[in-house]
Amino acid sequence: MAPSLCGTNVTSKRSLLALGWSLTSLLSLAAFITAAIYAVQIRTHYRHIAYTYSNNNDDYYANNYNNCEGGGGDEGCRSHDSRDGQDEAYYYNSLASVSSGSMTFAGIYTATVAVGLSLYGSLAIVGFSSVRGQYIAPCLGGSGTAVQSRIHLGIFMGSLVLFSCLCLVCAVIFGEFRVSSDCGFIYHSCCGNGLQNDIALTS
Amino acid sequence: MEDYIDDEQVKDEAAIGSYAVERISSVLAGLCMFLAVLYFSYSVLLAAFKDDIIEDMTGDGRKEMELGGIGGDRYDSTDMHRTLAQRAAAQRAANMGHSDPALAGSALEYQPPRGVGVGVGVSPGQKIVQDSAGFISTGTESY
Repeated sequence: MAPSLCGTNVTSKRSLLALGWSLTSLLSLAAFITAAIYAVQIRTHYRHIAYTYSNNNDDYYANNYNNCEGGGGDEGCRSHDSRDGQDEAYYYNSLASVSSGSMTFAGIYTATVAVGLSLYGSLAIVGFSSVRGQYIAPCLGGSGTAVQSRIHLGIFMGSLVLFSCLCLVCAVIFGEFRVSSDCGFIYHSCCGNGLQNDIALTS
Repeated sequence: MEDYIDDEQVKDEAAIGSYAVERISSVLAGLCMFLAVLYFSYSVLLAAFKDDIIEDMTGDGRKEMELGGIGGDRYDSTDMHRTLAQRAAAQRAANMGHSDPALAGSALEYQPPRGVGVGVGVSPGQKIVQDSAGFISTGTESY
């Protein structure tokens, strides 16, 4: 009976590493899927808010216009309320529609590198762990010399460290990501001047 | 200013006042931080066990075969053990007539891994055959 490191399936350090790498890959995949779902959900939610404000503004403006045609006079037709409503609709539309191509690129690049690392590690370095926890040896790069093995392992470990540092830097930058505009966030104080100012992305 | 939005939930949610792209960037920040911790932890684990990995990558992979892993036998074949045994037999033959008494008759004793050559099943009608390298088999390549 083979000695066991942890449980019945982790019988060697190599199988422990393979299990760890399989878990790392699965957790990465789950994290990417969760982030994508959250991003789509946030975008949909904001579009719903913008759509709601836009529709309500149109209804409100139409009702107001009908009322003033019925005898309200010009003052009612050009009320500040309808104008503010248009500004609000524009504001929420801008909240929903502002996007960042650099952020999309960073997300896609991170996902691509994570997939590449997962494939390289599983197929050539540490191997897989099956659903039952059984070790599956890597199918590539097994017939090299000691120097080649050390080089491959060094490349893999260096890639892991570099990727984790890249993720750390991306996390810090994304955490400080803010959209600044001349109008600012409090639209009640300045949206009367309109939101036609250029919106600058800063990070 | 008259409020014309009837949906209270929409009003509450819209009152936060942040851009959608900012919230998405927060989500991505969390994702990247999670990935950074995850991959750095694994790199530490890999650095701790790197000697075992190198040993397994350069060795004959017998460990995993003995431990019952799948694919561990990619390093291990009848030919490999046959080659090692033949090499030992050749060295034994070369040392037979050596002038140095310490080397004369000595040989590189090759011991096949545990499990190899043990418990070979012989079905009725099969014969146990010993080849030139001293390997015992049933005469077939099935192993």
